[in-house]
Amino acid sequence: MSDGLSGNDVELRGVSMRFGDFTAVEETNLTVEAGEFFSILGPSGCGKTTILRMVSGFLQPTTGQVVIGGTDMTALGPNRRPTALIFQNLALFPLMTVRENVAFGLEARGVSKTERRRRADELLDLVALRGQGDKRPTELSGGQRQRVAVARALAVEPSVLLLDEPLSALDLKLRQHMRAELKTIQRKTSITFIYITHDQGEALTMSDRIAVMNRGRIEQVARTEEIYDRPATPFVATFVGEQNVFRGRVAGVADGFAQVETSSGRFTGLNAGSLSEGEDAMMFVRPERMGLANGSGAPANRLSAQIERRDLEGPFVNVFLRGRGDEEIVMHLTNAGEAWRSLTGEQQIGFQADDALVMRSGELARD
Amino acid sequence: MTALTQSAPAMQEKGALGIDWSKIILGIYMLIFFLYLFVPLLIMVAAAFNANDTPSVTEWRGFTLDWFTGGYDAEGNLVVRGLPQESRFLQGLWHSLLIAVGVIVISIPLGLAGALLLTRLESNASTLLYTILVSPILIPGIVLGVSTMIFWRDIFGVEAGLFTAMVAQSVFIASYCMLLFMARLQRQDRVLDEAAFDLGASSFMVFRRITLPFLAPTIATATVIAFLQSIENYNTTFFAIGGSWTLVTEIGARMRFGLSPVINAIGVIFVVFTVIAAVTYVSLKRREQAKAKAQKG
Amino acid sequence: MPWSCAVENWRVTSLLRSYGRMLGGLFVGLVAIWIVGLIVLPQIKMIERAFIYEPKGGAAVQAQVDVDRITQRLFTIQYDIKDLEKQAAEGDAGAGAYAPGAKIGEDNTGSGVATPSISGASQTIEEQIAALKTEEAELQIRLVALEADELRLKAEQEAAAGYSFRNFTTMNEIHFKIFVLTLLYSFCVTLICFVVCYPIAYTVAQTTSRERAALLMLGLIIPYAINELLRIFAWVMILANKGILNAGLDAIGVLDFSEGETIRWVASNGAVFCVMVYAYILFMVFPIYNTIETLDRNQIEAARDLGASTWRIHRRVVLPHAKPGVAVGSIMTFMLSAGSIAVPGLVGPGLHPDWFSQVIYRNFFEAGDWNVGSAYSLALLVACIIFILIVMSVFKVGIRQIAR
Repeated sequence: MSDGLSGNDVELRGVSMRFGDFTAVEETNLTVEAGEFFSILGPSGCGKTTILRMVSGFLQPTTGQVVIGGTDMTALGPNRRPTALIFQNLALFPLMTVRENVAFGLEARGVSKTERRRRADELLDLVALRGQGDKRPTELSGGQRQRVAVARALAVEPSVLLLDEPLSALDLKLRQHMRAELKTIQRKTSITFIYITHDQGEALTMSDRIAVMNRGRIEQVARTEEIYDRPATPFVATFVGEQNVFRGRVAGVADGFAQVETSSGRFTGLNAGSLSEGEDAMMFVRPERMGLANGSGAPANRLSAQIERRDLEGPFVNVFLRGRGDEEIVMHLTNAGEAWRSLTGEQQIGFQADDALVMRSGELARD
Repeated sequence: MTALTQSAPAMQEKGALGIDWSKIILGIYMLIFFLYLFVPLLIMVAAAFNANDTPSVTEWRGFTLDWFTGGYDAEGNLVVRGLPQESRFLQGLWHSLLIAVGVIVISIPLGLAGALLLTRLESNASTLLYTILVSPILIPGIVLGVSTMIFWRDIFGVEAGLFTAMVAQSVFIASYCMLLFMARLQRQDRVLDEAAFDLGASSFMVFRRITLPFLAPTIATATVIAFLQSIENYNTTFFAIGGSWTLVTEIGARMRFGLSPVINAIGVIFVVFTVIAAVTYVSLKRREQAKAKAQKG
Repeated sequence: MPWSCAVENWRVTSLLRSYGRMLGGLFVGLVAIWIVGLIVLPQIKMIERAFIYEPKGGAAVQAQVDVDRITQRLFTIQYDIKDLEKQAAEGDAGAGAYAPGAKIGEDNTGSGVATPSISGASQTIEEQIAALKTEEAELQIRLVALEADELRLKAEQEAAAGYSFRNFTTMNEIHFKIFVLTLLYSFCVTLICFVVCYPIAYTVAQTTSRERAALLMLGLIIPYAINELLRIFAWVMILANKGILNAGLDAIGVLDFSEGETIRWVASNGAVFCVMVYAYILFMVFPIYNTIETLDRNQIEAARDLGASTWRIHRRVVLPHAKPGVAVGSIMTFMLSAGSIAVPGLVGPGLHPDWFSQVIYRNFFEAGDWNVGSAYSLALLVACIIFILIVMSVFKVGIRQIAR
């Protein structure tokens, strides 16, 4: 079943999508490697579904080509491409049995009835739905229906599987379970997965690489660690994970670091955006990289802030503070020991220069 | 008016004498209305069992089923002409059935094609098309019958008769069918079509395996409705049937010669069938609603 | 099958995309046949006929009849003359024992009696011949004149025939009055139906209990589904001379059957009205019911809460919402009344004035004048269309809302 080698890569060459005056997707060049789990992450309306529809063949790009496995597919309809789409609402055929649903793609290819049955049953086994073949989709639970949708898509042996926020309707436990299952299936079959989601946790757990999109433009494409540790733009920095943002002006630049003068003080961070002196800048520090700065081991950047509230979130404690310049600061402390319970009032907190990123001011992700 | 405005907020509570007057008046009105609807029918049904040559309920001459079966005297001679003896009626029924079958064969595909076309055509011409296809319902049956008759006579030399009646009826029955199909199609989940395409199905396969099964119950309903509308149609048929006749036109013709209890007998049969059909329809619908409710909950 | 191209072509190709070329073509073809073959062409044919004037009978025919008669007469005369001349020739040759008398077949006197040939026979023959010849000459002159007349009248008819408005303009006064009255009465029927059935539709739609609603609906569907004719029949029975109504009046003493008093309800205008309302009222109930049913009950409650009177509630809350239903109901009722042939034919035979549909019927099936019939049908059609347009604009309803 798994023949997913070099014929499965997806290239978008100069692809854009415009509806009249509205640009849904700006001109994009993107390559999804064969056999990788690739996620497109972004808020609603950013254009990720549009890209998916262009790859699957339901939308014709305004410019550019869609190339799959080296062949230009731009002129082909969705029933002629080696792609399979898993819809957001699954779109299982309610008037057919589960087995008929799974076998549908085979039926479309003229496979004989007995052979169809056999392969459908095989796939149902693969997704742990043995024996459910004769039921109707309405008789299954949400998670079971998910698996039918996956089985149905796999039946046509696609080179590329496109998933349109398939888990958004499920509850948390089920979602986590399905994430693991999808990942397993992808590993087993080596099919290229292109996964659309607005849930950054999901993208981070499952993907090999992530593309972060905002307003029709891909802001960054990178491996998951890089997206998290080295976001390329303020949007990426704030969309993926939480950030503390300090605004100010670059006071000095040296050795790949930049000094930024903010209302809470002068801080040093990595000059990720290659800024020069005098530019408006934003400095980003992850909450888990913030710590208490009283005592020894003083970090390079220090500031005092007023604790407003502490929330225990299981393994972490979220500490909410307000800095001198009235900015909100969040600190994640591990729930080890009792020290955090006595935290009140004004505190000295700090962070390492290596843990801070300095970028040009730009759009932040909205909460 | 002032009295009304004053008592309006009190409408929720009981009015004078603790009685909700408006409800009572409304109730009486409803009662009168339904009596108005049903009493003539009851009278008609009752007269079918009256051994009176003229249909009547006031001059009762004894209970009889002769109008249904024909009456024979002791020697087996036919004394009373009942239904089975009215060969023209029976023939008319046969003609009606033939026409109805033809109407179904024509109307269902046409209505289907119209509905399928209109639900997918996303251009400005669709309103015009819709108007044209729905127009037969809104114009008098006379015009349909007459124009069909003229058309087939002038162009094809076909004289008015069963065929022209069938064609004339189809024109507007197809429109009714189309409306039924459109109502159903508008509730269709188009994403299913997309999923099918994505899995490699051809347009024909999508139609065959997705759209048609979805429409199947409506096709059944439309068939029944087309059948009923064809059988009981008078105006259009009357003007297009020429020298031939259907059960209904024959009833009309006979009625002009005077009243006969045989017509009452036919009426009884019609009423019985209608009641059965209506009760079945309503109970089926309620069952369907109950099922839908259960599924949601 | 190649996918159709750019976004600009989205609209039309949506059809092709959904069904493919074959199916799409099939559907388009079927709809085309429906529109052209069943709707448009027959109407065009009828309209065409409405404007073709074929004068029937009249002066031209009469002239033709005269011409034929004279020609026939001339032929007879010429035969007579020949025969007499032969006689004369034979008479000279010998004794006239042989009496040329009765000529076989034709005879002016028609008596068949042999004319005595001797005394004054040859004189008679010559005189006869002379007389006949004179007549012949006269008739021939007349013939020429008549033939010219015939040609002229025929030419006049030809000129008048073909496309013209004459079918409409020669609609005599009575027919026109009938036409207008029919429309007027139909409008009255529509109005009455609306007033009567609005409370019903409202009440049934507002019924909260499921069982009661179903029962009421059943109570409406059953009469609706029973054939129009049978329901009319039921009323005719009631209105008959010895029917329920008269029997009732007899019972309370207004009439006296034993004296032979009956009121001829049938064939009165009131009866036609009453039966027509009965026949078509349900076509008004269902559309109004459908629209009121979709009205959120809370709106009425809210209005009541704010102190609105019942009248105001209906006028401002319910009626605007029910507008499409009222429009559809009115159109259907009007159309059915104006075009009704069953009610007038059965309830008011010989009634003055007739219903317009009866006039149309007579033109087609009794007078055989299809063209005039077509013209009248066209008039009815136009009247109905105008009514529809008026209703649509008054109620501000679009064609799309006129659906089941």
